[in-house]
Amino acid sequence: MDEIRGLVVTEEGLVEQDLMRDTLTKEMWVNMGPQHPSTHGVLRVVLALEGERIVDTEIYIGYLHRGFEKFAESKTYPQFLPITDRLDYISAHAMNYGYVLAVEKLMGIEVPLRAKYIRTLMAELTRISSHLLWLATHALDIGAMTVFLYCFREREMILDLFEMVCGARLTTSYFRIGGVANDLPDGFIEKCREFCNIFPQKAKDYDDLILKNRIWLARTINVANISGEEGLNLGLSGPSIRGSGVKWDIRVSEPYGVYDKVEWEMAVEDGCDVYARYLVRLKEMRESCKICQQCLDFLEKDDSGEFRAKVPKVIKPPEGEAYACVEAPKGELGFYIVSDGSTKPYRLKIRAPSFANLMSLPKMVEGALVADVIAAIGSIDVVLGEVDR
Amino acid sequence: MGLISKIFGKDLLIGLNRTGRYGVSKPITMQYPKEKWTPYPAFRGTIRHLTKETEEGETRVRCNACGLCARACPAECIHIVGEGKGKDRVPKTFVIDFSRCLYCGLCVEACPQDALEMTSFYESAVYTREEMVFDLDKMLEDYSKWERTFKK
Amino acid sequence: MLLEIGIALLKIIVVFALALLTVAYLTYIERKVIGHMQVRMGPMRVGPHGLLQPIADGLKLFMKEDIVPYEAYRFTFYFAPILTLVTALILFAVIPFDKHFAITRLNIGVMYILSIASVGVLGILLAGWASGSKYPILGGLRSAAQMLSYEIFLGFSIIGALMISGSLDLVKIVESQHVWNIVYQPVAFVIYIIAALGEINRVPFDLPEAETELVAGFHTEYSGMKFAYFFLAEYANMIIVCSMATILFLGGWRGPVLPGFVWFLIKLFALIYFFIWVRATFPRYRYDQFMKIGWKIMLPIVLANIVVTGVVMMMVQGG
Ligand code: SF4
Ligand code: SF4
Repeated sequence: MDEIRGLVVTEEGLVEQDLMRDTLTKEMWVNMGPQHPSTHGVLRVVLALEGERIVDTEIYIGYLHRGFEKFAESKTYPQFLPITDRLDYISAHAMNYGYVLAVEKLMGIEVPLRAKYIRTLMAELTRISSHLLWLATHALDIGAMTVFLYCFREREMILDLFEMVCGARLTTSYFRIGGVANDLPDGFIEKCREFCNIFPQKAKDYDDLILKNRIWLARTINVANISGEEGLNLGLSGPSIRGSGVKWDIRVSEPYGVYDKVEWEMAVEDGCDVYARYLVRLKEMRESCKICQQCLDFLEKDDSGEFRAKVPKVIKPPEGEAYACVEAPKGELGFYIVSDGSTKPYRLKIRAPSFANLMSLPKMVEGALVADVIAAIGSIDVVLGEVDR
Repeated sequence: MGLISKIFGKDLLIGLNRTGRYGVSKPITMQYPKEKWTPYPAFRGTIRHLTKETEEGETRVRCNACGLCARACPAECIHIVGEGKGKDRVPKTFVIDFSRCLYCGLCVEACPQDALEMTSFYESAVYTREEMVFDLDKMLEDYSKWERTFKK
Repeated sequence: MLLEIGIALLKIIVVFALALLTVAYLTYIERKVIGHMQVRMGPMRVGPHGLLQPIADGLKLFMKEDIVPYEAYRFTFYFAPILTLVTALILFAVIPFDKHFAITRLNIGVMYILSIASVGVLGILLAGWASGSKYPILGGLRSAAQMLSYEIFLGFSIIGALMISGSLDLVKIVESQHVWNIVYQPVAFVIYIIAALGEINRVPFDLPEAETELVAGFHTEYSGMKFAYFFLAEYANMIIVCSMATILFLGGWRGPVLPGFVWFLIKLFALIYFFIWVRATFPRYRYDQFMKIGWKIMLPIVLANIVVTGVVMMMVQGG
C-alpha cells in the first residue's frame, strides 16, 4: 500500500509518520475443513483469501488414511476384496470390479459371459447411484436443497436392488475372483427393469429444478475452468476430464466386461467448467440406464446359470505383476498387483481417481471466490475414502 | 432462452411448479420405529449358527470346528477351539466379535458344513462392547426376540 | 388515563405474545412445508405431527451450554443478538393488523420501520466482528454490504406505492387502497419481494449464513439462547417484511365478508408460504453476482418505476 504521511499524536507529541502503517492489509488464511459442511468428508483445504478472492490454495489430505495398500500385503487375495468396498464407499461394485479384474489378469482366469453381464449391470447401477449422490450433494452445496432429497429417492431404489442381490446396500462385496458371489435372485430382473424404465422420468425432476435455472447457470458456467490439456497433465480422469472435451473413457479405450457388446455413447462436453461436468454426469446416468437395459435383455434370455468360473480353492497367482483399470464413477481406477507366488500380494498399488482429480483443484480455483471453491470441489466429485485409502 | 421467457422467469417457474406439486403429494419416507423395513432374504445381518438332527435324534450344532471360516475372515474376528475327534468333533468355544465383523459373508461362503447363516437381524446396537462378542450359545438363539417393537 | 395505559399494555402483551408464538411456529411451518415439498414429512416425533417441536427446540436451546470463544469481544458478543432481536420485535409496534388493532399508530410508520430495520443490520455486523473468528467475519462483511444495499432497493421500491397513497401512515396507506396497489405497481412489488429476500437473508440470497460456504456465517460461534435470538429475529423479520408487503401492495386488512385481521393473516401467510417455497426450490447466488443484480438491474428498474409513476400521476391528476 502506498505511503500517506501525516501528523499523529503520540507520547512524544506531534510526529509525522506513515498513516497507513497499521492498516496494512494481509491475506487471511482460512481453514476449510476437515470439519466443514461441504468438504465431503474430511478434506482440508487451506485458502489464502484477499477479501473473498482466493490467492492460494493448499490441500491437506490423510485424515482418513487406513493404510489399505500395506494392509493388502497381509491379507489373502479373497480376503482383500471386502476391503476394497471401503475405498470409494459409495460405488463399492466399481471398486470390487477393478480389484477382481487385476487378480484375474494375474491368474489368467476367463470369466463366464453371464458373470460379465451381471458385473457390467452392477457397475452401471453403481455409476447411477454414485452420480446421484454426487448431484445431490453438489446441488446442496450450491444451495438447491430439494434436489438432494429427490436424488436420494432414486438412489434408495438402487440400494434396494443391491440389497436384493447381495444382501448389503453399501459395502456390497458382491464380486468374486472368477465371477460373482451368487446368481441374480428371482424377481430381480423385473425390479431392475422397472427402475430403468422409470428412472429417466424421475430424472426430469432434477432438470426442472436446476438444468435451466438462471441461478444454477450463473453459479456453474465459467466457474472452475480447466482446459483439456491442463487436465491431462494433472492426471484428471473420468467425467471431470470429459467435461473438458477430452474423449477418454476406459470403457471405450480398453473395454472390459461387456462394454464392447452393448451400445452406448460416451458423454463429452466442451465447456471445461462446472456446468459441463454437470452435463456429462447427467448424460452418463442416462447412458448407464441404457446399458442396464441391454444387460437385462441378455440376462433375461440367458439360462446358463454360470456365474462363476472354476477357480482353485486357494488362490495362489503365479509370480508376476498385473495392472487392470476400470472406469469407476469418479474416473480411472487402477489396481497394480505384484505377486511373489504366495497367497498374499507382495505389493498392491491403487490408482485412485479421486486422489488424482483432487490435485487439479488448486488450478481450478485460481483467483476465484470462496463460493466457487465449493462448486469446484463438488464438480470433481471426490470421495475421501478413496483419496486417503 | 428467449428474452420474454427470461423476463417472466420461465426457468424459475418450472422449478416452483415442480416443488409446488410435490408439496401436495404423498411423502415417500418410512417412519422408522413404527414402520419397519423388511430386508430381502439375501440380507447380510448378524451371523447365527445352525443345528442339525443326528441319526440318534438329538439336535447338535452343524459346525465341526474345522476352522475354515476363521481362516477366510478378513477381520480375524472368529475364534474357535474344537474338541473331540472325527464325526464327534464340535466347537468347545466359538466366538465371533461382531464389533470387528465386516458382515462380508466370506465365512458363510467358506463353511463346508453350511453351519453358519446370515440372518436379517439388523437392530444389533448395544451399550457395551462386550455385548457385541457372541459365543456359541448366543449364536444359537433366535435373534428376532431382540428386535425392537414400538407401539403405533 | 389509567384506562388508556391499561389498554396500551394489553395491546402490547397481546401483539408480542402472538408475534413470538407465530415466530416459533413459523419454524415449524417452514420445516413441514419444505419437508412435504421434498417428499418427506418434516417433524413428526414431538406431539401429534410434531406440533410441539418448536417448544422442544426452544427448551433444547435454552439448556445448551453458552459458549463464548476465547477471542471474542465479550460485551459486543452478548449485545449483538439482543440488539438484533429487540429491533426485530419492536417493529411489530406499528403494524396494523386491523383498522384499530395496532399497538400504536404512527403518522410516519413507514419511516419508522425502515429506520429501525437498518439498526438491525448492526446486530449482524457486530456479531460477525465480535466473534473473533474468520467465518463470522466473512459473514459479517457479506451481510454489511448486502443489507445496506438491499435496504436502498427496498426503500425505493415502496416509494411508488407511497406516492399513490400520499402518506407514510400505514393505516392511511391501507385505507387509500380501493384497488390494491399491486395493480398499479406490479414491477415495484416484484422488486420489493426480491429486495426483501435479500434483506432478511433468505435463499437465494442467504449469503451471510450460507452454510455450505461459511459454515453458518455470522452466527457460527453462537450457541444456546444467543443463537436462538438470531433465529427468532430472522423469522420475526420475515413476518415484518411480509406484513409490509401486505400493507403496501395487497391492501392490508381490506377484503369482503371475513373480518379484517383474518384477511390480513391470509395475505401474510400466503406471502410467507411463497418465501418458504422459494427456499425449497432455488440454489444460492454468488456474492458478487448478487451485488450485480442489485446495482445493475434492480436499481435502474426501480428508479424508472418511480419516474413513470410520477409522470402518470401528474397526467392523471393534472388532467
Ligand atoms: S462376515 Fe466377514 S468379517 Fe464377519 S465373521 Fe464372517 S468373514 Fe469375518
Ligand atoms: S467353517 Fe463351518 S464347520 Fe468349519 S469351523 Fe467354521 S462354522 Fe464350523
